[in-house]
Amino acid sequence: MKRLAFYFIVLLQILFLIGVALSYSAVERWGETIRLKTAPVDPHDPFYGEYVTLNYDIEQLSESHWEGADPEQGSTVYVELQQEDEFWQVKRASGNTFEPREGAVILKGMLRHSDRNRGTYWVDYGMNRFYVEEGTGEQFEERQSPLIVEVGIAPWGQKRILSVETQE
Amino acid sequence: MNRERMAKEARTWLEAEIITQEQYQQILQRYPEQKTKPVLLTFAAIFIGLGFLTFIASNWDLLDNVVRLIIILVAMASFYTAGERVYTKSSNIVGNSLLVVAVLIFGSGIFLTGQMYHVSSFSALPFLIWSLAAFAVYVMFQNVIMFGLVMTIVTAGQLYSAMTYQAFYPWLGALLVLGGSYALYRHRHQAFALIVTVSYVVQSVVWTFSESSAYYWLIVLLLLLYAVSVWLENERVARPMRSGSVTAIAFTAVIQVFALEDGFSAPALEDTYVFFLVWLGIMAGVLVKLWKQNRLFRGVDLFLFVPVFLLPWAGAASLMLLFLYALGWLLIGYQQENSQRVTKGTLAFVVSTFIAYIHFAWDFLDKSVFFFVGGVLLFGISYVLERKRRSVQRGGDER
Repeated sequence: MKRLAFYFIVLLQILFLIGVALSYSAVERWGETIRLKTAPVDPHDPFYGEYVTLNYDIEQLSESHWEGADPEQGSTVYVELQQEDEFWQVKRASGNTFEPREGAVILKGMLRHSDRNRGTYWVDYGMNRFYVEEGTGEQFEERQSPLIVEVGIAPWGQKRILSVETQE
Repeated sequence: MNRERMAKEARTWLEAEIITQEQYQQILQRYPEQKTKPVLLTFAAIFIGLGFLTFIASNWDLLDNVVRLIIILVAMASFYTAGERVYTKSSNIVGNSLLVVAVLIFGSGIFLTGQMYHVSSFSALPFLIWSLAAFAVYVMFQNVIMFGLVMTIVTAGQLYSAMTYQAFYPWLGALLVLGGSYALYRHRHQAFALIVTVSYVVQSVVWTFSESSAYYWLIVLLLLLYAVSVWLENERVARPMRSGSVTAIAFTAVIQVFALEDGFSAPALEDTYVFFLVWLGIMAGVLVKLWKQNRLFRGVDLFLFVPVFLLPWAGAASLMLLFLYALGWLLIGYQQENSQRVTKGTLAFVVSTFIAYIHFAWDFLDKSVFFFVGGVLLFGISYVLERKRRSVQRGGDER
């Protein structure tokens, strides 16, 4: 009995890892791909290793984007993006879920910081790190030019970075 | 006293024919042979586990992500299986160290999946998942090493949260309180209590500096730990908590000596009402409990918890607290003729004196007066104590 319980715990851990991996890899297959603009810097994490920090244009929202009540800092927010020319831009945002318009996508994020006087809001989408092999992060930093990030968004809301390229 | 030294001592008694062979055996039986602690094996396991963690952090491009994930899964499953087999069939110690490796591999698996898909989380959630898995394994096998691993992951996660997100992660705090209570309930053992204490102190510091607006809330958190130690009847569990909270608050007092001097702007009195109310409540509770337990002398520890930051000479006042603590234990130690307490007081006194000496905010003349007065006082006290001790020895005819 106890032994069964132990192997159940082990199985849970295996399924957790596989589940996380599969669900993210499914984003590429079934999700919509959007392109975003960013600028890189290059720090370290003791557990995940070296990465390039990506700062997106879509992270900064203005007052006019918000619909409904002003969300609190640290709360979950939903941001609607639509394609304009090559890149996707913020259309509207809200503290509650809403249906996207035709051709638009919803990104879930967290309101990191808001400055009500200036009417600016910063949203964290949890896509600010692009992990690279150790010793290779500096190349990204040295390039100085903006980066283009392709992000996959699954119908169930999960999202991930698919690729990062420099702008031609 | 340990068995070896006792055996040697008893041997001489036996040879001097103070005790019989039978009594010699009886004495030895009172000192059971201690189980050897699996230090080397545990370190070996930790090294292998850290190997996996750093391998993942290196993000070595030569191996494809999927290959890496398979390596992690296979390695984890094998270490878990082997660990369980060995634990139940042959050796607890070896089995346990294999399980430690498996738990560490699970952690590297979590970081690998995050890295594969460039997911950056908003909180220390990966550490919560990791520590919950470790806790489940601990519940199965109930041993101190696995519990230590759980709390190491919890504490590391909290530090990670502080450094990466500048925030305290409450779920890891909850796991410390709930998991720690459960473990201490199951094992009234000092190693468990020590592990819980260390994690509590570290997490208190993280909470104070990332969530609360003022450093002085740390005093309340450490006082709370002290209060818990007073309430726990079991001395084996209470002692590490008491020592831990006193050590941490003594460090805080030393930092106060320097930090509260120049450029420290004391908070407005009305902002501190809540703090003083909570502090007073716990303090009163602790004192009443100590009085009921007939251990009011322990109250000497509480000098260190006195909040002095509102006073005009807060730094010097904090130094006074350190001296009061040291003198308190010296006096109690001499009075009870308890050499351990005398040593504690002496050590605290030496450290306090050293701090008074290097404390730069005073001029040398002030310091000189301070040391003269202090020296004369100490001569006086030691004279009184010595006279008392002699009268006790003569009158009581004890030795």
